[in-house]
Amino acid sequence: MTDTLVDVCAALGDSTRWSILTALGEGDASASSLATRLPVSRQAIAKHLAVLERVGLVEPVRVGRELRYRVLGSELSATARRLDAVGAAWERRLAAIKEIAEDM
Amino acid sequence: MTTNPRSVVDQDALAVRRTIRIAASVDKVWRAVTEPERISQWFGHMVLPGDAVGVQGTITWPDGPAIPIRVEEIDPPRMVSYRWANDETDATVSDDLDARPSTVFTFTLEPVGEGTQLTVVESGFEALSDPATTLDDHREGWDGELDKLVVLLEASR
Repeated sequence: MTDTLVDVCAALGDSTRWSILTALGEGDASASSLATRLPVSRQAIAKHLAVLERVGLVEPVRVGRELRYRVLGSELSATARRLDAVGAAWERRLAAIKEIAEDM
Repeated sequence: MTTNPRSVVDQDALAVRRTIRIAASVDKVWRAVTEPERISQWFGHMVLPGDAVGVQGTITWPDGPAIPIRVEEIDPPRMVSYRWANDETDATVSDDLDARPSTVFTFTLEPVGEGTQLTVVESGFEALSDPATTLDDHREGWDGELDKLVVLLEASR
């Protein structure tokens, strides 16, 4: 499984996949069940789920005859943490810029 | 001191945005974000031979490689945008910025009363080769849509 930011970002850069992740955040669900909640066909949802699975954002779980998907928060958290570190670095730099400009 | 909003993660552009209020004129803030000797005070050691679009220089930290940096856009004294290589893991690669993973950070300055509102947006992280190494840094709190979603996702497990 790849865990590079570029792949995760590509997977997240789509509003339908974002909706799917949000819906799965409320509980595990099958592609059919997601299709009843989102304005997208079951087939399209299955494709989006495959993309999300490939980058480790969701995993399939077999429940009886149904294939449900579960979100894996860790990969998403890692992405958020990486971007957050950038934000934290800018926070420190902006504080320094402020000091420099105010002392000028 | 002004209370500043937390950095926000933009889920579409994968950008990091941060805004701060500074009790100094736009001109002073402009100098702090464009004059190499000032930039060297808050960033790395900056060498930039000019301030026109396309001018390329380097930014260096102690014991680190010279990192190429280029003026992408400039509109004095309101906006300046720099592209810098962001793949510090490999110091041997060329100084051709277009051939390397890079990100762009843009400063926008707005006069607010006697002072200045300074906003920085850094974007292009989807192009980075090894973000885990590049971006490994101190962990601090964050907000925005992405982290709200993470909380939602993690709470549901």
